Amino acid sequence: MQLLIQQLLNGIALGAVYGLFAVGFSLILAKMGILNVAHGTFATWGALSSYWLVSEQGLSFWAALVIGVAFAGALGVAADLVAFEPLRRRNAGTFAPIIASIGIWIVLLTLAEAFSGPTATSYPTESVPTEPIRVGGLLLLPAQVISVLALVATVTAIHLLLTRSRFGAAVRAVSVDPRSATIVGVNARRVLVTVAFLAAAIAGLAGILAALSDNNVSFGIGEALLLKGFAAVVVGGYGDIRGAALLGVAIGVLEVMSAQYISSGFRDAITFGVLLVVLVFRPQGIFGERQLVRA
Amino acid sequence: MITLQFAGVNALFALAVYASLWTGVLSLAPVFFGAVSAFTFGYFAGTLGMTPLLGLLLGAALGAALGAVTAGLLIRLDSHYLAMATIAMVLIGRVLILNLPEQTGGASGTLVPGDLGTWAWLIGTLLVAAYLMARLAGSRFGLAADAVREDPAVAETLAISPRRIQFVGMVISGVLGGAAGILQSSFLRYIGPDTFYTHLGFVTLAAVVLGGAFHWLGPIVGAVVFTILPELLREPMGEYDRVVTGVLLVVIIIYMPRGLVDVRRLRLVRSGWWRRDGPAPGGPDQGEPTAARAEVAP
Amino acid sequence: MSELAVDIVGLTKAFGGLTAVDDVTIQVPPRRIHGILGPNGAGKTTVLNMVSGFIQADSGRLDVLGQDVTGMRPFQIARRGVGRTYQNIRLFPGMTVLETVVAGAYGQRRSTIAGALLMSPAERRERREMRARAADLLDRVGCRAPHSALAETLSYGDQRRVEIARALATNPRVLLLDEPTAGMNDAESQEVGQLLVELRESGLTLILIEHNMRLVEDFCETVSVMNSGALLAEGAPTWCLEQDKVKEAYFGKRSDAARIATLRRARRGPGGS
Ligand SMILES: Nc1ncnc2c1ncn2[C@@H]1O[C@H](COP(=O)(O)OP(=O)(O)OP(=O)(O)O)[C@@H](O)[C@H]1O
Ligand SMILES: [Mg+2]
Repeated sequence: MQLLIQQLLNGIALGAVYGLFAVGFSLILAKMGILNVAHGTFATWGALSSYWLVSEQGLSFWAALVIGVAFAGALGVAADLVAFEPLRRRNAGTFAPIIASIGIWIVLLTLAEAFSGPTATSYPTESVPTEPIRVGGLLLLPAQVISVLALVATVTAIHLLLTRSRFGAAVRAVSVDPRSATIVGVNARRVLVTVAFLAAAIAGLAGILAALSDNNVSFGIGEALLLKGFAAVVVGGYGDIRGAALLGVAIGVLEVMSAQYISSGFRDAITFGVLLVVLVFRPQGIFGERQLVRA
Repeated sequence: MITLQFAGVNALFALAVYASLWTGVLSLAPVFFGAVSAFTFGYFAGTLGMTPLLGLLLGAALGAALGAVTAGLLIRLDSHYLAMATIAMVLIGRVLILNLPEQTGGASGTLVPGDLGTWAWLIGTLLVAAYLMARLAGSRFGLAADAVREDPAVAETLAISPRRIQFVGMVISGVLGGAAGILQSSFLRYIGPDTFYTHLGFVTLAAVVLGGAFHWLGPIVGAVVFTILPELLREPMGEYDRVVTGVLLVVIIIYMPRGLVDVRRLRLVRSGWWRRDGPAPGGPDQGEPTAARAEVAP
Repeated sequence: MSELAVDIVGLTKAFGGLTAVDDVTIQVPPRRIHGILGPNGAGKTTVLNMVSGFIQADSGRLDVLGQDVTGMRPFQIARRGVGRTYQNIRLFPGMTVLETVVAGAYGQRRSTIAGALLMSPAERRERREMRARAADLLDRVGCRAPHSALAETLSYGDQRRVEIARALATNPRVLLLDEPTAGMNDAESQEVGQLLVELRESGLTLILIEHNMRLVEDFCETVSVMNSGALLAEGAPTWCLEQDKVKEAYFGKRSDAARIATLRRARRGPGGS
């Protein structure tokens, strides 16, 4: 029982990172209609930049976290300015942005590889919180607590922002039709850039927390997150970030539980099995209303 | 010389990507098809021994079967999800290889016989593939594929079932991807978890985009350029040569969305539309005439 | 069940809050040229879209040539003999005039992929025949542009003709035309009218949306007039166009307030005919 609860907590913490990444990924997919496969590299660069700030520049972890998140957000904005905006202006259609995002993925991944070198490292132990918290026989690592808090805070903030604020209304207008939105006085460019920033910044946060939880900073962080994040978005359903966040957590729990009770080799296989089953039988996702299947 | 051989193999992979893009499906699945056929070939060649021709046919058949299964499961997805699902297949392929060490050698990989790694086999296979594509262009299937890619909704009112066409495209993509995987492994003689991974997918896709996804010559031209270019850049750019691939991909898709081999542009030039009083192409409601107008809801 | 070529009963479609088509019933016997009229935004195109399966109706029933096709996919409806053109011309970019029409013949062809790969004589013969047939169709619709030109580079008139030829290539028994003469001059419009008559003589049923009243009066045997999604009147074109409510819906008249009042009244009585 003790073990079960402990593993459940571990799963939730792991899943919180997946959920966080999925929130950003789904934000840009649902609100801007862009399947951005470079999203994983934003996470990688969030982690790499914060690592560099901590270990090379001697910044505190928290300062590095903030700057790393902002840096990832800036990369997202740059991607939008350099690639997605020109395509939007040319009305280039469905595939062009995916292909462009693959180009960005290649660039950012190659640079990350060159920047970090082939071997993985981790944040210097003295600079990050490591003291475990004990709650009646259960053991919680600070990274786990931070991840869960970060997910809850981010989802709440983004959800309120999208549903309750004027900015949210503007986002909705732009995501339906940027041109008409402009006509009714929304600054579509600013909305798009802000969404791009938010989505990428959240990815950066997820990357940093993944590196912190795993005790491992490497250029491969983003790839793993991309897969899990995609699974969470697909299974959770398109369009609602709460679904993506919840499914991210579920995937984390599923992974930890299957590693504990079935076999660690099956860990990934089970996630992908679930992904496949949902793609085939319920392509709109568990919570999805809007039909994404080709009509 | 070695580089040119890889250009040939990449051209096959690029043709495989082209086969499904032709029907309006953006898919990196051929890389996965190639991985499965190569590791299967490695396994059987290692345990049973296998003649080269049999290996190649096995790869093509296996690819076709995988293509059919993939299409059966995924073709009805929205094009975004479909594209992402095929990228996920490539990422998952690596996980599978690492988790099946008995069959694949896991992280340390497998040795593969190099009988097929010769110019003769490469050129022979490429010629067969090009012939295949050339025959299909302009056939009943080919015109239907063009129509589905340009405007699936309109194609459907011409009694064309887009899913059926896309299914066939995916099977052809499987045949070419499977065969390409066998040849690739034979040239390398060693295959590991990273052999058929994102990098191959990127180069392949870049080749199709640069060369042009609207004529079968496009992917071949693109593959040659994209295999030789990094070699030329390796000297001045070192480990950054791939950055050029990425940048080019973005630049081409923005400024030259129909690629180098652009039949439409040739036809425009030939028919001299600017001298006629007809409307310029891409008039009021036409938007950018790429794959794209696709999903526009009726 | 019926001897009607097209039997639309109680078709309804809403986009969000807007009921674009509201309980519309249109019945067209075979070998008839039937017009659908109405001001902009009346819901005419939406009706055509539902008949061709392009969009799904919210409710209502749709029979074509005696078969229930409600809820069928567009390609299934097309296989049952319905062809169509588009108001905002939708030709395939990159295809030549001839290719476009040959692509329309997809359902008429029997050759297989194996046949194409093996260069079977049957497949090659079929390719030749299809090209010849497409050329015939282009002549028939009066398209005089070179067959090797890109379809998207033609004049609007010729683009519309190519669309008609492409639809005819599917060998339809019911042809739906959405404003086929938009952008054509009077002489060209009359040519299209003649074509409609010829097609009717060869056994087709034609439903066309048309704003050119002269064409409607000259060539349509019956019309349905729509306004704000609802059917306003149906019958012979001259008779329909003389109805007050039709005139008002169409041209507006008196003060706007009066017009709106009339529209309200017209909407309250469903069907209207
Ligand atoms: N796909 C769609 N989504 C939302 N609204 C639509 C859609 N198609 C049509 N409408 C709306 O439905 C109404 C009827 O449109 P429809 O195109 O059928 O009119 P129409 O009679 O063909 O007009 P026109 O003479 O201008 O072609 C319009 O108000 C239009 O804006
Ligand atoms: Mg209309």
